[in-house]
Amino acid sequence: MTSELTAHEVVLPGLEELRVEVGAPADWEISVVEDPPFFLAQMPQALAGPFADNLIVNIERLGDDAPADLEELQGLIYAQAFASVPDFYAVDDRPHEVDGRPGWFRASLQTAPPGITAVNRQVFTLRGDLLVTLSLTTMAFRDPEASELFDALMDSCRILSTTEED
Amino acid sequence: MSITQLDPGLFRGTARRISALRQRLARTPDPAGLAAVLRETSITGETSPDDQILENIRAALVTPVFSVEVSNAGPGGLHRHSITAGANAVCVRMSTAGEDFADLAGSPFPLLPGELTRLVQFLPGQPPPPAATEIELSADLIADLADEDQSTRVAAWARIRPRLAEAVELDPQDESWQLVESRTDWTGTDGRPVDTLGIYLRAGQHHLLPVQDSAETVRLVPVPSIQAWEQLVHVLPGKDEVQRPSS
Repeated sequence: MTSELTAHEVVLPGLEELRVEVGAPADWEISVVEDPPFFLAQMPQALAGPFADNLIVNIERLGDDAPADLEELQGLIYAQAFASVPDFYAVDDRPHEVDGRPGWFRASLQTAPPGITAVNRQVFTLRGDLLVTLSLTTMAFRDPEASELFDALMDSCRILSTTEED
Repeated sequence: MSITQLDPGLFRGTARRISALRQRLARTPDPAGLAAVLRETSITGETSPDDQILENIRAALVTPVFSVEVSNAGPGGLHRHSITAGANAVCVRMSTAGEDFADLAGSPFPLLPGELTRLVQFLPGQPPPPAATEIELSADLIADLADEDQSTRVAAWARIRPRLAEAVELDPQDESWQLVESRTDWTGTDGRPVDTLGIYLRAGQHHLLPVQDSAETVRLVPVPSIQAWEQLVHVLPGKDEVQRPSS
């Protein structure tokens, strides 16, 4: 895993009022997945071994029925993960600033194909009715590097609104 | 008391018998020897020398790549886990809780970090408050938390808890604590022995890392729970750090 990051700008279709700037390891492969749209940076297969570490940036417009309170909202996300992620196991879950604004951090384990322990470090933050999620998922045996990478990603993260003064 | 196979690849008995089974399997260099192991070891439940899980356990024990020792001390017990990672990508765990209770179990190597987390029943905790302070304690007092004798552990905790309350807000309803020590040994690619050690203390919903500045004193540093979990798992060797048994 490289410590050198390349800056990326994430703007998703239909959600152009928000722009997320984030670094990803320079040798990771970048794509924007459609339907639902999200930004994906992924360790190349030649380096990955059995599991390709990856960073997902997701921006989602919340419906009217979604909680406006971030703590309540991430509690629902936690419950969904607990019910759907194989062998989900939270190891940290707490408020955490994201680009200087209130956010939430969760670290959890899961059993990922092809049967390995993966570590997921996620942050959530709300900007108006948009939920921004950054999710770094890595093979647990690479966790010392992943821990450093996550800190670097957080340092690089900027969330910019085109409709409000930041 | 005999050994019981509770599930495929999970054997339970006294510490003495389970340890003997583990040592016997580790001295069995060939699958053909399993029949003799089963004859010599009284195991209740269906077992067969053709059992593939038992064979995987044997093969792992005779080709150790690295070993992990985890101790989990608390007011109610002291659990020890000794894990051997074999060249066949199988881990063999021997867990003991006193003399009367021990397990021998096999599991896939790629799931070892998750297994360690579950073994110690790791709990996410509250982050330290911004003004959380470190506290300094005698190293002997911390060592007593992991003593074999329960009364020694409990007495040490009774002295440590008031000091911890100076650093973090302890819930008076939550008296739980655990001191987890995780140690890994392997032979490096240069042929030299390598060992790594990680320790964390959980007091209720707070996690603290011990930092030893001298032989006499230890500082306990409040940390978010992810940093305590990292102590548990970051002792594992990384890719290309271990000399394989055949090299």
